Amino acid sequence: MERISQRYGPFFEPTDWLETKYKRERPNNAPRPLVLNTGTIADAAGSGYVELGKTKVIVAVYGPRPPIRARAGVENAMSGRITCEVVKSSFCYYSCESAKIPSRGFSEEERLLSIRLIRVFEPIVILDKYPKNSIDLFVVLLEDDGSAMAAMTLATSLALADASIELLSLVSSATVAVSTKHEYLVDPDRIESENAVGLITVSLPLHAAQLCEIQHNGKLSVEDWLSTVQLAVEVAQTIGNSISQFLLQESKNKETYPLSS
Amino acid sequence: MPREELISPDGLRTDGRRPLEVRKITCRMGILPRADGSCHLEMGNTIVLATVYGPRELSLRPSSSGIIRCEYSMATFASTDRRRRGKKSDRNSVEIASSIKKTFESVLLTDLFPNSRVDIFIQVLQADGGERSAAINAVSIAMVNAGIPMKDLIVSCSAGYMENTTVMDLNNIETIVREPQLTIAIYAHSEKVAMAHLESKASFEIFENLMAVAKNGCMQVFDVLHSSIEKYSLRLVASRDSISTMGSRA
Amino acid sequence: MFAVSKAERSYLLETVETGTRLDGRSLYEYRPISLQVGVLPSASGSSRLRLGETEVLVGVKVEVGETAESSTENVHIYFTVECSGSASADFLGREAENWSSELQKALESAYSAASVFDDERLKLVPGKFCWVFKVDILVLDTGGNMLDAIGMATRTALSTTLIPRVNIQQSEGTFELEIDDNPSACDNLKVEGAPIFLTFSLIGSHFVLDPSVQEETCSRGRLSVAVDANGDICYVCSFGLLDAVELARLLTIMKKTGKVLLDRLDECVRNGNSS
Repeated sequence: MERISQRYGPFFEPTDWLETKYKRERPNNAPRPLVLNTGTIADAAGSGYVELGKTKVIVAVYGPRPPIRARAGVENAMSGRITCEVVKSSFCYYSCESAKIPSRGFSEEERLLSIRLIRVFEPIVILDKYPKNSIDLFVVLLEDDGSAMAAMTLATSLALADASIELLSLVSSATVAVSTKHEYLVDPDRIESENAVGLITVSLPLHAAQLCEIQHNGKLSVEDWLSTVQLAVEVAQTIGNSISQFLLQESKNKETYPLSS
Repeated sequence: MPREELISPDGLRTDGRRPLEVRKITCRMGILPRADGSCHLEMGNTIVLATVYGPRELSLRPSSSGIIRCEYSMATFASTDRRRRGKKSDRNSVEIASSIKKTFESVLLTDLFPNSRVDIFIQVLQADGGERSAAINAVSIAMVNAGIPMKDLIVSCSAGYMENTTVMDLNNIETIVREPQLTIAIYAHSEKVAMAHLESKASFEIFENLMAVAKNGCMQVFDVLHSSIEKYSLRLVASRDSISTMGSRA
Repeated sequence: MFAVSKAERSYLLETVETGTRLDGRSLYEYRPISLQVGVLPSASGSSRLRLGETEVLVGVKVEVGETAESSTENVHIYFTVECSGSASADFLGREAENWSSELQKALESAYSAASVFDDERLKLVPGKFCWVFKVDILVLDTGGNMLDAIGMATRTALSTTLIPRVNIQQSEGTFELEIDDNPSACDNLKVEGAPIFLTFSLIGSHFVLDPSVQEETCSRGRLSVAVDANGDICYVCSFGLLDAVELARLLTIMKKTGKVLLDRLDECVRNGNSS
């Protein structure tokens, strides 16, 4: 049997292919199938797993616990703090030389994603209830096929709820891309994100008309931008509802098991 | 660059100076309001920004006298060829930083502030030779600006020997030539040598000659620095007067 | 890190409630900006900008570089943000690294979105040679609102950048580039499309434009937007709990203020140094 080296790709010119062959297989306003799971990691206080189409994320929450790496001031802090480490798996890169040997330490992208996740959850987690403690998030991005930040936010939200950490609200998140033909594509995959003229990710708490995070890359007029954000908010709310439904179901299941034993 | 061009037949150097002439020095102190002491010093085309924080609390183990830390970095656009930022790991920067640290350890009265530290930050904005001495002069002024007690003011100047002439305060073109070059830092009043740094080998006579010229340069630098410190202080005094008269009028 | 005492914090929050700020500004007012151009003789373009207590120095170096064959861009632009130790003695290690890579990302994203350099005259040999702009940003003092200061300084430095004329000779499929080294034979770079950033901080229940360090320390959230001369949005980053209904109002303020700032900057560059 002849072995095909992975270095042969790509077999097509990406741009031509996009115009002729690439077709979105679902309506523009429909997100990809969502898979949710909690309690995947036994050792962690809580964990969450999210699939958005091919994008897969797993998050483990440890804590509240005393900070492992002592830092000046943390031991006596009046409120807790969140730490976060995002790691992209070595096979999550889509390129002709897919799996990379990871370089030592965290890449710039991973560090920036960590900061963003911390910033999303800092106002949501009721940190005043965990003085002198730290809540540590470990995020592994298994596969990145677009909308990774949204998937990471959803998974973290699940994991925090699973760990019974007190939150103001569940956090939901959604990405909307504006294509070159000026279509609004909900929950874009990697190719759609890369070719978008505007890409907006919005995170929001479910039970308030507020936003935790907006990140926009690309150029849009103010009106277009506002309507895109509006759309992203609506999608995030629908996704959020399914998350809370899922958690409700999970907690019911949990209630029955320990009592019967 | 051929050697003949460094000093013209008239005895003038590439930038039109005479051998025993320092470059034009301008110095502004107290330009960064949030630092304890700061100084923006120009020596010809070499521009250095020095900042001093302290004395402030030392978070490490207790010490009987103050501790000095020094960081020296060169901006990416400082010289004509853009360098990758190698900042603190750059060997040259580390060497200059440690020599400046040692120089100021000898002159600061560190016994007066135990369990505390003084941080020195030096940023070279433009490099045209003599960065080491410009940095020392700038730090010296920044120390004055921060009001940190010193035995004496430290001034620094370089000297080089080329084409049978000893010249002071070398610029970049004169620095590139592999000829004996000496940078010294001296106490301005007692004329003790706080730091001396010689590159390339020099015979004893040449060395003595270089030393004398560098010392002479230091005194020229001192005159300029002294007068600018004086001007700054007088302005402070004047502003205090105006404020107090304003107060009395109200 | 910069610290604010409890009393100071509550005073700051109270003053913002009344519609003024500690330094006497109204909520949507910038601090005085002073600008100097052409400060670095060794760079192709440079500027030094002071926004209140924040001070940045920007140098642009222009080079001709090789490019990948698939690339159609005329210009590769790289940003590096470096915090001089003098700016803040506490900016060390990983903290400083994260901070500067965030700023770099914002600049890169905004400049690529705004497609600033879609200028025919900047074309060299597509797929072979392109211009490489290296924008080095040195932060001399951190007095709050770094992003806005850096954005304005970068735009100004680029607008004063001189591009040497290049003679392209083609012989047997190879290209030879001859760069005119006559300093007067240079063209000014056109940067009308370059965006600037505007930042709001959320303090109490109010948004304030151009936050100072004290205000940044007391803020619960931030909204940074890059706008260009047409009022289009090129980059947005926000965090902290913001009211969704406020967005439209804030964007109108930004659009208006951005226009004023851009006009002022262009005017300053035309008149040489100004404040």
